[in-house]
Amino acid sequence: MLTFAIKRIMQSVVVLFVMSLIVFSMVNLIGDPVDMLVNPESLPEEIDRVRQDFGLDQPVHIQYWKFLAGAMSGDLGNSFIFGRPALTLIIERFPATLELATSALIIAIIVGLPLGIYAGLNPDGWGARIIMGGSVLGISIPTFWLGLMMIIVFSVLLGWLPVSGRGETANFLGIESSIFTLDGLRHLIMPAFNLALFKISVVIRLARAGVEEVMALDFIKFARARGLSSQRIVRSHLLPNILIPIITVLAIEFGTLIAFATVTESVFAWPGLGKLVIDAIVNLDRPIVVAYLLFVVTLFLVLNLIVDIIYAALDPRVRLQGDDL
Amino acid sequence: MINWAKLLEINGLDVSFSSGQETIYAVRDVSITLNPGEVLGIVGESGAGKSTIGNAIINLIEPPGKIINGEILFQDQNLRSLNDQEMLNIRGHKIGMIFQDPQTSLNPLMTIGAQLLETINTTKKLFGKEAREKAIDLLQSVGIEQPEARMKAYPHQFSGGMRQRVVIALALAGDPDLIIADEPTTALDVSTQAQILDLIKAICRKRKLGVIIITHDIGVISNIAHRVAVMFNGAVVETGDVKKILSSPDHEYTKSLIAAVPSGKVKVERFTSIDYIEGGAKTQKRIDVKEHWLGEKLVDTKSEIAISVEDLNKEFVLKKAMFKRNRSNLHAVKDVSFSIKTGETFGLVGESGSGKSTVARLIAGLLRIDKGTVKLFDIDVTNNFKGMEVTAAQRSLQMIFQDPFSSLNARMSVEDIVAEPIRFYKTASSNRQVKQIVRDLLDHVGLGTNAMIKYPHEFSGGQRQRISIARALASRPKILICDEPTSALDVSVQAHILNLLKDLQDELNLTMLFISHDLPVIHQMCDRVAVMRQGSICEIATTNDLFNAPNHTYSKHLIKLMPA
Amino acid sequence: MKKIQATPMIKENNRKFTNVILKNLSQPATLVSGILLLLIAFCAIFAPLIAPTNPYDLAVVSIMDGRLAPGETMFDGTVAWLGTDGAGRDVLSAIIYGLRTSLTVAVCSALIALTIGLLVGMTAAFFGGRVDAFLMRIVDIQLSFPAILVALVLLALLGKGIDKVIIALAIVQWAIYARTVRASAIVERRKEYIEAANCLGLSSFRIIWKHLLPNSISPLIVLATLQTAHSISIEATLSFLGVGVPITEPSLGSLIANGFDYILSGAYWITFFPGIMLLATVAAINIFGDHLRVLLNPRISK
Repeated sequence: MLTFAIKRIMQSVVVLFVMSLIVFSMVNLIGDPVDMLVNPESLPEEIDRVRQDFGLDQPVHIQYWKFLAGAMSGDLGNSFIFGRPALTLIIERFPATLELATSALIIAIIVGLPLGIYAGLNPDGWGARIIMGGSVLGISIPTFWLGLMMIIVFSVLLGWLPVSGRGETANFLGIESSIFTLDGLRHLIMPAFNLALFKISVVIRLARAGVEEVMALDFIKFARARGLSSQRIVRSHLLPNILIPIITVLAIEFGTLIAFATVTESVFAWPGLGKLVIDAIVNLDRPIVVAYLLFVVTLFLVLNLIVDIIYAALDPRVRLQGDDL
Repeated sequence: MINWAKLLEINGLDVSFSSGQETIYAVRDVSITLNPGEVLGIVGESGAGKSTIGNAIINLIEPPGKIINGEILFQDQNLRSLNDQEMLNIRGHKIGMIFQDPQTSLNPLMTIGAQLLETINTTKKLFGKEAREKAIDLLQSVGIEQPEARMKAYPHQFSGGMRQRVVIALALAGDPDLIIADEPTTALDVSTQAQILDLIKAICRKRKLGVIIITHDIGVISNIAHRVAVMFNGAVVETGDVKKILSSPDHEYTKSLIAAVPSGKVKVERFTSIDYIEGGAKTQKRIDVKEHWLGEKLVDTKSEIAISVEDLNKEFVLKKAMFKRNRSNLHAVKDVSFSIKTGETFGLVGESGSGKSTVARLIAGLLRIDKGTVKLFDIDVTNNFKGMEVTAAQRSLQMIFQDPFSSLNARMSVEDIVAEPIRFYKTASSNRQVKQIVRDLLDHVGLGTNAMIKYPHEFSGGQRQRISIARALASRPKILICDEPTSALDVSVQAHILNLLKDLQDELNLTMLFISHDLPVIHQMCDRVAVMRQGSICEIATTNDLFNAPNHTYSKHLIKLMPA
Repeated sequence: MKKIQATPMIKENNRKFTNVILKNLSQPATLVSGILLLLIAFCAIFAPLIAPTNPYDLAVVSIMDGRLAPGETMFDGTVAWLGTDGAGRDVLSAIIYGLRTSLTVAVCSALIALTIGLLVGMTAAFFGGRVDAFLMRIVDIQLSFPAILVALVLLALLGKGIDKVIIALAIVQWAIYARTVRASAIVERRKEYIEAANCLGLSSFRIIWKHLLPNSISPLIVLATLQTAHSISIEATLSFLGVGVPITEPSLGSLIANGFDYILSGAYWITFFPGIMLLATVAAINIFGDHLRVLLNPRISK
């Protein structure tokens, strides 16, 4: 178990290194950032000075080496636009995105899981058909368009909810979040549901497929033949067996939620990471893009690691591998 | 305990499966009875409806299956009149069930203790310490050592036979009066099989249980059952005392079923009077091999030894690791040597995992040989795929595989499958001749020419094996390796395929390497036999010597376990 | 005594691809989604013939027609059934042309990704060992990042343009095809008909081409359908974020982005109708793909 974890951490470090190389070299292909930084009418000496200031005159491999050395100590360069450390900007914006993604994930589980299990247990009923039809719609509906439609209906026509932005935040148990104020919640509810909708459909499908697969297995039939009641079979035989794969997938899906937050944040002007990076891409703000990518890569690697460990801890076939009696 | 005259009585049971407009009767007008303390065997081939009866009794037929007619009287109570809640009080409480595959019958995420306890809680309404004691008792009674420690173990920590014991303990948890065992030993090795059957017998005697054993295996029936019901195509064709039915059956189907069972005692030239099942199989239009393309020899070999294998070794990597101590390899074949004379049938017998199929694949060049040599007609073909001579030697060896469902390419027509080697190596002069040869080969193996335009999924298992044989013949082989060619088939179909293989060998003077776990089949087919265990050969002897006077202890053990 | 003919309990379905499709067209959901798909494809291919006006012909488009509500008549007398946008373009025509761009991008990128994935997946499955481990590690890394993120970064590097969007989407998708092909080819490769083909002494090329490929392909057909829907969505999202197709050849996504500026002023139709079209297209493909999956999966199929 420990060797397993160490092995996975070592693999992750290698991947992180490779990704830093890829990210750095790719981002260096974007047009010359100096054009963005100086006035087009400036003197050539002025341009050279800026180039030197930002270390852009040195060969690429030296730039990479400096970048890597900096990255090790948490310095990913200053934003060209804001003139502040890129990593600081990212860390400032991250809580807003984290709040959005976590709310969306919780909504997806609370809504999706019961619906999916219901549809799996009663596959031929009308309820299941409506649920599954809804999930196809949920997967097909473009997130950003739905966001716009929500704004038209709930903000413009009905005037119930604010159009954009993040509301007041409050501090509770050391966590600064907008879910602790009414205003914050009013701002959060639309973006969170918007981001969650796709995942609700994913959870419904996963849960239903899991139920159908497990219900067909021999041990369920044997449990029925042993005289166990249906409730007991669902609770202690079906659920644990479908939850392990679902939990694993959800941890990965959390990463995609962070990625998809870029879209929702753009629609609702939510001041998170996604908004920051879209602006940076448009403005060729190289350090922000690099810092964002490395931040996200690290986040994903950590998530993957957690998934593997959760999986190993939950499933006795993995946990007790090799200690056969 | 009340003494019921009849524990179970089924009268006129009909079960149908309907899909769309089609309705198929899986069980037709079946009536059987069972007394307490009696073991009733229900025997039949696949699709006979025998499992459906077991499921019907405890009302667990998978939709779209439905009981149409009949009554099921259990302890004078009609089970069909019970509602769902009342049925729950029968399942597990009064009737226990044992399924075929112990690998999948247990919840992998729960300890066996937890599974036992939940069953005891539900069926006996015992909790806490009492329930625990009962669980430990049960494990003890099915022969699991250190039951207290084993309560905390998960199913994957048990071997197949041990798991089946746990399954039996679970079935007994509610102290049922009737046990229905559906192919309880089919997924197990021969030696484990015997132990499980002994256990079921002992439990039945001790607890005065009625037991219904559902199986395709007449050996199991003769071992354990007092009475037997023979099923064919959904109906019971014959019921009665086991000894009587096995020695002098009345019904034609029973006769041909018993005739098709290979014997470990008497060797026969061909299986006779087995035509009932295939509905009087079409008389095959056999070709005269001497004048046919099939009989033309590519190169005439004078060699007397067809296959010679020396010090064959093969290891599989089970676990890769950076450090040597963490690696683990499976030594699948260890120093195997033998030689097979031209025209001989050589048997390779052993339990699953003994390495016999690996030997076949090494000889056929499908796996890389780690160490040792393989010669075909004195030509060294060890890990060698170059040169005309080697290719010709390798093509003179063809294989028949175990699984008829995966051994044919599902996306090719039968004609293309059989014609492929002829077309690829251009061994026929024209496309018309190719078609004619394919037609002749299909006729020769007993399929008829209409088979050409069909696809593999339109055929049954036995017919597919015939297609495989025709495909092998299209390479004009001199050596045929048969890797468990009939173990996926029903016994009557097996007899037909074995007959066909024997006929072909006579006509074409084929050398055969015949691999099987089934001793009686080996007995019927082979001239000489090698017994394999854990990758090595224990003993090589003529069939006669092996079956009458085995030398090695392991051979003796196997022969002893062989059903009478 | 009369002999009873043994009838097989369950008649196996003829699982040939075309037969499966034909037989199951009778199901309403498949039929409706199939017809809708054909209609959409027809509109996209013959856009210039079907659209009432050419929305990108500057000689025709007039700013005086700007933001007409659905059903109003334009300056030149044609009725704008779905209204006009801020620049006076007929929304219906723009949708038909936009559909064309969206589908071109999705289908082209799917074909490129499918080809790369097929090559990589087959290579990995057939050669196994280190080749397999290396290729699959790349696939794993690629797949651990969400498609939208990778596409976003790629387009930031490549710049705007239909060809660039196609390249970015192909790069994003090839890995999923490769993994699927490999998985199904590895299952097939272990089957005995491949061993039999080896026994017959056939060449590797023939074994891959005639035996392995035809048997590994059906999960790919399903995947390609669902991926096409997915890439239409991604392209729309990218164009909405302003890094997708250029405004001179707008796709459905850019049309919706175009209407973003007007939603607060109540001109809902500029975003609403292109969105409905996008939803209908993606949903139709998804429903069709879902049915294909059920039908082609021997485990689920009865």
